[in-house]
Amino acid sequence: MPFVAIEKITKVYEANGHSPIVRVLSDINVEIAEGEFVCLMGPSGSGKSTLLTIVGAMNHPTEGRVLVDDIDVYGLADERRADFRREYLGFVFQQHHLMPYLNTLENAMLPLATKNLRAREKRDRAMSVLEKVGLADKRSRLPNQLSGGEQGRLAIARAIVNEPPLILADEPTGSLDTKTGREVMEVFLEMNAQGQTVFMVSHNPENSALAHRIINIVDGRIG
Amino acid sequence: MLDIPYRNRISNVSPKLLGAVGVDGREVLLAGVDFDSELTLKRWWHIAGRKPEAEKELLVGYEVARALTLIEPASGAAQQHISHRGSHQSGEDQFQFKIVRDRVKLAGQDHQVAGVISQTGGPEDGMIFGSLAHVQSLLNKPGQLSLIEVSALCKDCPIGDIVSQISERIPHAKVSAIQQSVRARSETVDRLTRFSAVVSAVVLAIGALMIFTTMMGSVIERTKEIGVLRAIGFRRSHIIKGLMIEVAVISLLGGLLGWAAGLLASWLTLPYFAETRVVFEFQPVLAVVAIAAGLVIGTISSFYPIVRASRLDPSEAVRSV
Repeated sequence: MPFVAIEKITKVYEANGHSPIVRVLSDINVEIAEGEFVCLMGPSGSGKSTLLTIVGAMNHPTEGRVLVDDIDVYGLADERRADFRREYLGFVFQQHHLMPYLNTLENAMLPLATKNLRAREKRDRAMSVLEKVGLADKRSRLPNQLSGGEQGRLAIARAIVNEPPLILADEPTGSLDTKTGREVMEVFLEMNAQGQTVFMVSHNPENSALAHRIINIVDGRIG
Repeated sequence: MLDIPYRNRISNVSPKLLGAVGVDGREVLLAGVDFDSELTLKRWWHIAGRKPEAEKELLVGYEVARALTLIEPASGAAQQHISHRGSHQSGEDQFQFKIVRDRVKLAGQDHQVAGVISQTGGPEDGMIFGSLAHVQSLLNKPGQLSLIEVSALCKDCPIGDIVSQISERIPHAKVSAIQQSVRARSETVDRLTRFSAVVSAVVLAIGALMIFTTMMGSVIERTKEIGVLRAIGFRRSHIIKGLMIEVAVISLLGGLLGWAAGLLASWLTLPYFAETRVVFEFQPVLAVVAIAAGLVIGTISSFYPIVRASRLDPSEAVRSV
């Protein structure tokens, strides 16, 4: 049984005053095994990010369903789906989306905020992931005091602090130079080596070469 | 000032001695007054001339001045004027008359007319005013008084209690409240109170609307942040709780600051509006009400924008950057 099953996913954006109906994804079927590192590639506008947000339980598909660990993600009520995101998923955004007014440690602790843990335990877990991504000594810095690579690593730390079984990354090296991009990819490889499943969107061939499997998507269909 | 328990509510005490006196073959009502107290009390008097300063100086009512030919209709000439609206100001103003004679014989003694009160339509039109001590001597009634006018200008003044306290203090005097004046003053205060309530309600509504629009703006500004929080597993209820706590803290501080600012502003400006000495009073109930009102208005006005924020689709919110 696959860990992630994407079944007959179609996404259509309804027409509004200015835009006509847009069919972003058509009949997508993908299976990802537990512990696999899968890279989703395709040109801009092909529907990569939309598929990632659908797998990330953030974007309701028009048709089809997503099963993660045999849980029908969109069969869950909204609040339960939020719980699912917290327990199962770690999301790394292309723009990192760090909280500018929180320091490195606080940003890393953010997903633990709603967990019923002691403050000390939350802090220890956040410090542990910061050590893993090499940012423990910069725990008091604000995001704008970190380099691009460090911000990327902090975004990964925030994504893995809950120890989610599935990491979703939307072009995590897209805004980084080659060297810092490599640093970030090394963290993903390390996470994957520890058993976490990684589903990453990228159009960088160097990144995709590190994945176990590459899925190509063109015009909303698997190529 | 009268030594009674409510003495701090009394703004003015004006003792008077009344008596008839012959002036140029006429009988005129002469009042001995303390001019400082009297002019503070009678703020509506407009005086052509000046306030009497010396012992044998007089203030003459309009009808008496006319009868004694002290004045005649003005023909464009300006007469010095003392206005008693709020404070003693002097300046040039146009009167309907001018003083043509400023000496009169009162009980056989020569007196200087310092000023003439312009027509009021009241009993003062038919009176002459002199200094209390001089009139007591003139009427041969040393140390005697006919009446004491007491003014208590404050909101919800306990007039009845003040009257009974003065009666106890001066048992041989007949003390009574001038009901018409009290009623008129009370009506004015009531009208002002109602007007203030309406103004406060409008200000409150505008304040609530401003909080609403500010919160809407804040939510729009924080769309990305809310989207990220939703994406990393925050429930709608977590977002609502977090934002409501933030709003509650800001509203509490706002209420506290608003109360303190209001108190300070009234303490600084009230002396310019009130006719009585302003006493600084700390009212805990007012503080609690102001802070609670800030909290309630802040949270109610922010509730819809916050619920709307919690309903943001995380993927749309993150993509909106």
